[in-house]
Order: sequence, then structure tokens, then C-alpha cells
Amino acid sequence: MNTKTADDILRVEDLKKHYAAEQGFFRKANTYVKAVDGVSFGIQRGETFGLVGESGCGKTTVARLVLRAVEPTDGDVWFKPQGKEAVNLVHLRPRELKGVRKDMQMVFQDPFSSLNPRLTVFSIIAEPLMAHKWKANEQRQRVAELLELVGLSSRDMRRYPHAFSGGQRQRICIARALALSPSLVVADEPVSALDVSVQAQTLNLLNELQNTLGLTYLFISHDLSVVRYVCDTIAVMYLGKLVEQTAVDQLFTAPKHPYTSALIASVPAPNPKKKWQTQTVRGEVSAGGNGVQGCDFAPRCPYKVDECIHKVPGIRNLPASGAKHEAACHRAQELSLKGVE
Amino acid sequence: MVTAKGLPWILRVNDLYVEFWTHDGVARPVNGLTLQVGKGQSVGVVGESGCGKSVTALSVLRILPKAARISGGKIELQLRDGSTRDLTQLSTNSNEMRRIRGGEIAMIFQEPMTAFSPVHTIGNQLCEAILLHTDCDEKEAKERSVESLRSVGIPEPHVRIDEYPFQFSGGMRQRAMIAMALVCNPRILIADEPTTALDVTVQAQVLQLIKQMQSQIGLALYLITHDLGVIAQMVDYVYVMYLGCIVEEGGVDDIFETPLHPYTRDLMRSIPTVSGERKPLSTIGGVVPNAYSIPSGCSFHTRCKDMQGEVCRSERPAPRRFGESHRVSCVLYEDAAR
Repeated sequence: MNTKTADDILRVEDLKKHYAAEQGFFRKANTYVKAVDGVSFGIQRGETFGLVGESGCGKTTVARLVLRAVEPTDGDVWFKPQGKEAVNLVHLRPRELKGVRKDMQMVFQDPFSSLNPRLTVFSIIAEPLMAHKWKANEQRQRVAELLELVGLSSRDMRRYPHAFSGGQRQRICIARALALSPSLVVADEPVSALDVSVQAQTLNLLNELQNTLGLTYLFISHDLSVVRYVCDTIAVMYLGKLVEQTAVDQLFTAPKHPYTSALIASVPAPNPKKKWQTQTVRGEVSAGGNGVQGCDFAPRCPYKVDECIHKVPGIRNLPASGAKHEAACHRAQELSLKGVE
Repeated sequence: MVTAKGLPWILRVNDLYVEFWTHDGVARPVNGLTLQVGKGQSVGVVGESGCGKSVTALSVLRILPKAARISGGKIELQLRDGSTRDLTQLSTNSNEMRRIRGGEIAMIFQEPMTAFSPVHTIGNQLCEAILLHTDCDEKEAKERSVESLRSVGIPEPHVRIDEYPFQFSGGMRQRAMIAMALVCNPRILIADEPTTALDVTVQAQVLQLIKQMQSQIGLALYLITHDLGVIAQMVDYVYVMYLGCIVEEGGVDDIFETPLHPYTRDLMRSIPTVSGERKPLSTIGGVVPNAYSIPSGCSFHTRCKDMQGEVCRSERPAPRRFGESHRVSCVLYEDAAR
């Protein structure tokens, strides 16, 4: 699907992660939860690639698969750090993987479970530094610097995570991820727990860091306004599959998948005069995408036809739209969906 | 006394001060806060984390943690029978306070998973509230629980009622939470970031539900959020909070069209929007000072782009009227009444 570009820092091909849903004593698993089901995309060096979707759609699993924090069921993850050969992370041995991981760091989603409550903020942020044998005084200096960078005070170094609000904890997580100045940062909802003014600071900071250090981001978020602001390319995920993928402006002005359009319409506009569409889609995401014959979105889709219920829509290229634009919808060509005005 | 919108008030917080006594010193999350909620009105409190918006709500319900103390001010509540109580004078676990919680004022929290008990069924928890507040027997309580779950749009409520919170999805859990809050017909619903943990499509549904319930039973809504989009779409009257006080208040159109306080203006400019341009976001310099060391004078002066010098540092600005219901606490403005 993705043409092989020499400048791709990360290329994911047909990535799958199936979890066995029924696994008992001597019993073979017979149903699977397809958390990630055939996802392919490429991230260019220096860009911010956004992965959007609602909770449970598998975007976090993709993040973990990319870092091989969980083992994929199938597929390839090609990672090419600056000035090095591309490696397929899926086939690396643990020791080789350790070397590569210096270049890829992650900011986790939940700041409450990703910080050890028994460690001080200093120990938390300095942990990657310790692993790479930094000197004690350098560690202290770097940690202080990082804390200021993420909007905390260097005095907070000696405190424990419980003394911080959710937002502040997430800032500690960001500081930890930035500690080793990696080339690829997988940011899983990095700003959803931050305050608006600090969120803006953080987003600007992420942009600045990208420009100065040449970072590449895989930016995972459910917040479309944030994604609109930071990302260059966006892929929309629904129940383990990519449903749409294109450049940011294209996606927001001319979405081709009904789900994307519904997502855009659901965002409450910070303008009381603007009418808010609250009835964009019915119901909630169904669990796991098992046993659905046709399009996973069909049960909630206002535009569904018979074909949608019986046939799985493949990703198709929409050449008419100029820039590369892919969508997995039978009616992508004929529907004229609403984006932002 | 009526609220700015001409509605009779039902909850009035007057010059409230809350202190937390901790090992690090005394934190003052709420500093002379004044706000009102009118009968059936929807009021929004917007502010960043740590500005005291949740602490204010907890003070109203008198469910502050042990280290906290209300050190000044009044929280007046108009009861159903027309009499007025100052909630700060009631003891936290007095029978009267217990009747008020749930019966007069109900609250829904941000994290529906942590707000429910994981080891009791949803039905159990709903019935508990009903049995506490009414003289129903258990059978009636169960019927009312099923009914309340149905009213918030949970399919097959008679089946779901025997399930545990973990069997509910996030949106369903928040719906159940709303059902539980409303089961005893309160007159005020405090919603503390009710949809922050939810997906956008579900958030739209849940907020719609809150609006619908509100108009159905004439409930006053006290919505706490950091999301300006939610505020714009949900409430009539907005309070902007910074470090424990209200810096600006006004009708939702006033606040969004002509934000006056430098903090409100910066806040509006710092949010990315889906329809916005991709230029660097305007930010507010520095960080929110912590509640242990609130700056003197106007608490925003340390980060303010329009700092006027000594007067901002030493004098706490009084609220100035600006138009009909718009008030701002900033020396940049003259009181219109003067």
C-alpha cells in the first residue's frame, strides 16, 4: 500500500495483533480479539504522524507493537534510525533490540500507572540516564532542565508522584521520554491530561524540539483539535483497522470516510454561536470486531447500504483528491461528507 | 436577590476560603471565591487544574479531605421548602448534610470507574442511594433503579442492573453515574469534568443526555471543566477561575465574544481548534503558581502580558461591572457603574 520511500523512518506493514479470547486449561483458543488487524503506514523522517481513533480502536496497541513492547501476531516493523541501516524490529533478538530502543521512546497514556509511586521524580526521570551511565551531577542537571522544560519546577525533584496532579504527572512522563533525546518519540495521548495553557506550551515545545532535534513523532490522540494542530499526516483507526489516511488539511476539509466525518462533527466548538451536532453516530464502539462480516463501522454508520453489511471494504486510493488519500469505505467515492468549514 | 440572568438563586457561594494543612505548609486552593447558581440555570466553571474548581465543588458537598478546612465565607443553599442553610455551618456527617447530598445536590465525577464501587453491582449502588433518601422498600427501589437506567438510555436496563461496573463501557458507566446522581431528584447537579475520560462521539452523547435531563426535570447544572468547547456548548453563564478566585464572569456569549481578563483572553488564544490555522499557539508564560504561594495582589500578575506595575502586585482587583452581567477583576477596566 505504501510506496517504499527512502526517507521513511518507520514503515509498518500489515501489522496484526490478535489476542486469544478463550484460552482455558488444555483448550485451544477459538476466538480472537483483533486489537490490530492489518495496519500499514509509513512515517517520514521529521514528520508528525497522527493516529486518531476512539478508545479501544487499537491505537495504543499499534504504539506498543511499533516499539515491540508487545509481540505482534504478524507483520513487519521497519525502523531506520539516522545514518543506520533499516532493521525489522519484529525479528530482532532482545540484545539487538536494546540498542535500537535508545532511539525510540514513548510517552504513555496514563500518568497514574506509568510512574512508580515509590520513586522520587528525580529517580523516575533519571532512570534512562542511569541506564546509560550518566554521571550523577549531569543527571541532576539534566533532570532539572527537563523539569523546567515541561513546566514543573526543579524543586519538585525530591517529591513523589502522589504529590502531583494528573496533569503534572504526565509532564513528568514527557520529561522522562525526552531524557535521552531519541529520534522517534511515540507519544500516546501526551497532552490529553494537560491543562489548556500548558497543553499549548507542550504542543509548541514538541514542535520546537522537532525542529531543533529533528525528532519524528508517532502521535496518538483522540483529540482532533490537537491532532489538527501538530500532525502532518493522519491515519484514522476504527476497531483495529485504518479507515482513512491522508495529509492533515485534506482529512479535515474533505474527509472520505463517514467515521472521520462523524469524529470531526462531534468536537464541541469553542464558540457558543456554532451549532454542535451531537447526534453524529449512534451507539458506541462494539467490542473486538469479531464475527462482523462487512464493514466494522456499518452498525453505527448513517450511510450504510447492503454492500457494507456483507463485504469488508478494502483500503482504496482516491486519486481524484490530488494528495495521497486512502479510505476504507465502499461509498468513499460517491459520498460528499462534511469536514470543517 | 437574583442571579445575573434574573433567576432566583439556589446556591450561593460567598467569599469562600479553603485551606489545606499539609507537611509542606498551608495550601490555599480557594481564595475568596464568589459564585451563584440560579434555579434551573446552567453555570460553567472553567479553569486549569489546581485552580480550585473541584475543591469548590467538594466544599459545597462538604466532602473535602481531612486535611482541608473551610476558613471563611458562606455556602448558602436554598432548600426545597424555601428555607436557606449555610452549608459551612453544618457538620460534615450530620443527618441534614447527608440529606442534602444526593437529595438536593448530586455530583458526577470525572472517572466513572473510580467513582463506582467495583465489588457491588450497578443495581446495588443505585438502590443504596434510593433506600437512603426515600422510604421505598427494596422492590420499589429496584424498580426505580431500572427506570432510571432506562431514562439515561442504557439498553436492557433490567439485565444491566445486575452487572458490575467493569462490565460497562466508559460511556455506559458515565450514563449509570448520571442515573445514580439523579435517582433522588436533586435540584442541583454538579458535574466535575463529566466527559473528560470519554471519546468524542460518546462525549457528545453524554453531554446531550445531561442537557436533556436538565430541561426535563428543571435541574440546575454546575459544570466544571477545562474544555472551552464543552463550556461554549453546554452552559448559559461562565465563571473563569484562576488560583482560587473568579477572575471573570458573564454570559457565555459575552465571555467568548469579548473576553476581557488577560487570563481569559490568553486561554482562548491558546486552544487549538479543528478549524483553526496551524500557526504556533499563543501560550501563557510561566506556570500556574502553586497553591502554597499565591502571588500577592492580582494572582495572575506573574504571568500577565498587560501587567500595569505596582498596582497589580499589591492590590487585589475588585470585580468591575462591564455591561449587563459581565464582570471582570482586572485594573485594566473601569467599573461601568461608576
